[in-house]
Amino acid sequence: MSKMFGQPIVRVEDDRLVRGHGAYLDDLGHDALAAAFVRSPHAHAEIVDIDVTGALDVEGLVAIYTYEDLPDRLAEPLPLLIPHPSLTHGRTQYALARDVVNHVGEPIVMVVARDRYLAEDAAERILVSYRPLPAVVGIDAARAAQHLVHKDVPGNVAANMMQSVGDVEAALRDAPHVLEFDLFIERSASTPMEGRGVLARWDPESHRLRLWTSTQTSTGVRAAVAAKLGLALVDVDVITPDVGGGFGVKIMHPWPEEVLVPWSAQLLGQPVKFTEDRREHFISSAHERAQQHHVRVGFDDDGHLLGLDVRFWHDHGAYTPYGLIVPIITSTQLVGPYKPGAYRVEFDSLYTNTVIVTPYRGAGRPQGVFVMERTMDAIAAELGIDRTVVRERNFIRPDEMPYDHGLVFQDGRPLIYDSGDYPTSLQKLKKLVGWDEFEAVRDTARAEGRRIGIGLGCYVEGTGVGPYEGGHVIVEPSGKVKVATGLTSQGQGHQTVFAQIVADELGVAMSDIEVVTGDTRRFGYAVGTFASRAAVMSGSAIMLAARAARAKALKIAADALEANPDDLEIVDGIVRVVGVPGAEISLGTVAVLSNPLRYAFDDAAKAATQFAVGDTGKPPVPED
Amino acid sequence: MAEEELHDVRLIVNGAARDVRVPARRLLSDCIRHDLKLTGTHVGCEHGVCGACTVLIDGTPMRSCLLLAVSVDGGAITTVEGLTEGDGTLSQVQQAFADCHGLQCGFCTPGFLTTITAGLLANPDPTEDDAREIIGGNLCRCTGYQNIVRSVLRAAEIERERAAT
Repeated sequence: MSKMFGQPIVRVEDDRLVRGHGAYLDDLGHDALAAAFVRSPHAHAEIVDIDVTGALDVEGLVAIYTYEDLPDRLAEPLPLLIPHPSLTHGRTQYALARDVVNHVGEPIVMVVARDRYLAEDAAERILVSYRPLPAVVGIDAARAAQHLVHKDVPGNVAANMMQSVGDVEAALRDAPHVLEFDLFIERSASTPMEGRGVLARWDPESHRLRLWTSTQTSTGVRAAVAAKLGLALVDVDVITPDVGGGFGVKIMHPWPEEVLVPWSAQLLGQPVKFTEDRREHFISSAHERAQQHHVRVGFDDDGHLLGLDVRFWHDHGAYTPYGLIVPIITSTQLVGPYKPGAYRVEFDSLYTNTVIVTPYRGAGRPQGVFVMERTMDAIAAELGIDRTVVRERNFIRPDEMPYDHGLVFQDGRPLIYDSGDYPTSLQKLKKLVGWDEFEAVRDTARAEGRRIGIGLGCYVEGTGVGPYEGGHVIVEPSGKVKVATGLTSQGQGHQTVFAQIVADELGVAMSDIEVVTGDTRRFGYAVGTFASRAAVMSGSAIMLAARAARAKALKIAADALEANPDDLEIVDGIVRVVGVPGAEISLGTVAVLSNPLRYAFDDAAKAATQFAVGDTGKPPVPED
Repeated sequence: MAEEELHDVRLIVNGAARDVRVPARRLLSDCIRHDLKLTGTHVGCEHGVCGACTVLIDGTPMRSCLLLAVSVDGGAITTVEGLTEGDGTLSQVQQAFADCHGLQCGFCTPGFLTTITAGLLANPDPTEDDAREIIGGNLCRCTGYQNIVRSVLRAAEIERERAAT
C-alpha cells in the first residue's frame, strides 16, 4: 500500500459539504425554542430599570430572564480563563449585565420564544432605562484615565508586565545610533462566515445535558458549563458540529450564551437554541489587535541591533476573560528571527468601553512583527542599507540553534527556538520576488506613470503549543477503524489528515477510517484548536495511539496465527504472515480477540470465540 | 398579541412542489432551512452581502436572505441539494470544488456552488477574469479565493468532458 501521509488527496470532508449535507449549529435543533437578547446600545451606562411588561403578551413567548433570575454560580462573573500574576485587576462580565453595561452589545435580557422572530418581537418590546456614563474609547482615553471603565481599577490598567534581557539602558546609551518612534495598530475582528451558536437539550430521565456549540474547544465549554450549572463533567456532553470558521473568536469561552442556553433548557425542559445573527456578531463578539507602541532602538554602523526597548499599550476592551495571552505573544514574538541585543518590553493592558479583545489569527504576533519589521526598515533608512541586508545581519544564524531568547512565552515556558535557517529563507525569498531586480522594474513602471513598491516582513510563529492532546483508535469487529481526538475542527480537514496518519500506521484503507473531533462523548480531554496546534498535538497523539493499536494487533494475531509478530504485516486491514499465502487474519477478528468472547454475533466474532483460537489460559495482551 | 396571519405558499424546490404556510415576514432563507429543512443553504450576513444564502430562482441566482417566502410563490428554486444529479453524481461545479480544494470550512460553499452554476450556464467557457467576475459577489473567509477561481475553470472543463462522453 502506498503511503497516504503527505499525499495530495481529495478531502474526506468535501463530498458531504459540497452536497449541502454539512451540519452546522443552526442546521440542528429544528424543534428547539429560540433565544434572543436585549443588548446594550450604550458603551457605558448604569441600568436603571428593566420593564418587560410590553413583551409579556407577545405570542409564543416562553421566558424572559435578567440578572436577578440567575442562580448560584451563574450569578457570579464568567470565568477568567487564563489568570496571570501580572493581571492584578482582571475583570469578567456577568452572563447577563448586573447594574452596569461596559460595552455596546453586552447582553442584558434573555428572551426565549417559539422561534427567533417571536423572540426578537419580545426583545424589542422590553424597555431598559439607562443612565449613560462617560465612555472610555481608544488607547489615548484609557491612558489618560480621565474616566474609568471599572470604578475599582485605577488608571484603567488591568496589568503591567515587563520582561528584559540584558541592560537595555546601557546598550542604548552606548549605541552609535539610536532611533525613537511610535507605531499604532488598529482593531480587527475574526468575523467567521458562521457566527456563534449554541443548542442545548436537557434529558431529565438520564440527568444529562447535551450541548452543541460552534466552538474551538468543546472540552473547555464542557468544563465551564458543568461548573456554572453545578453538574458533574460526566453528565455534560459537548458536541462541536461543523463549524463555519473560527479564526480565534470561538476559542473564547464560555460566551454568556453558552451558559445561559443550557441553563434555560434545563429549567424549561425543552431544547433551546441561540444562533448569533450578523449584527450581534458585529457588536458582541470579540475583537483583536489595537495597540500603541513606543520604540527605542540602538544599533551600530552596520545595522546590528544593540538594544531594543519597546513600551506598549494594549486595548483589551471591557473585560479580560482570556487573560494576557495577546499582549504576551506580542511582547515575545516581536523579536522574531532576530537577535535584539539587550531587550526590554513592557506593556499595560488597558480597559476601554469596547467589546472584549481575545485572540484572532496570530493572537498578538502581527502587532509584534509589525513593530520589529518597521524597526528594521527604519534602521535601513537611517543607514542607507538595503532592507534585506539589515535583516540578514541581525538574523539568528543556523549554527546558533537552539536559541534561547531568555523570555517566557505565552504558555509559561521559555522561548527557545529549536531550529531554523533564516538566511537561506531570505535568499530564497529574494530570488522568488526578484528583490535585486526590483529597482529596474520600478523605474520602468515609473516611466509608464505607475507607482509600485516592495516590502518584506520576517517572523517566527510559536505554534503547536501544549500542554497536550490525546488520540483514541479503536478497531471494530467490522474492521472499520474509529478515531477520536478531543480538539475541534473548523475547516482544517482534520478528518482527512488524521485518517491519513492512521491509514499508514495501522495498514488500513482511508475509506475504513472515521475520524471524530470535538465530541466529548468520544474523547473527553483536550485543549482546543488554535495556534496551528492540531496536526502537531492531536496528529502526534493519534499516531502513537495507532502504533499502540498496531502493536497489540500484531501480538494477538501472532498468537492466533502461531507466528512471530516480526513476520507479520498489515495490508488493507488484513494481518498476514509475510511470504505465507493464506496465513492471515482480519483486523476485525483481531479486534474481537482482544476482548475474548463467549458469544458469536457476526463472522469476525465467530472466528474469535473461545473454541476457535488462541491460548485461553492467557490474556491477549502482555501481562504487566 | 394576535397570532400572525399565515399564507399558503407553493415552492417548487429542486423539482418537487412543497407547500408551506408561513407568515408574510418569513424570509425565504428561513423557510428553506427551517420549514423545508434543507439546511445546505446557509445564512452568513443576513443582509445580502456575503452570498452564502444564494439559491437559483427560475435559474437566476438570488439572495434568499433578502426575499420573503411569500414573494416567491410558485417559483422554481434550486438549492445546493438540487445541484447533485438524480443518480447522486456530483454536478460539475460540486466535483470541481472537491477536485481543486475549493473549500475549507464549507460554510460559504453552497452559495458559491449555486452562483457558479448559473454563471457557467451564461458563460460556459470563462477566462480567469470571468471566473473572478462570477464569484465577485460571494465571500469566503478560509480559502483566499485562488482555489475557488480554479474550481470555476475546472467546472467548465468537467462540463466539456461530460458533454464529450
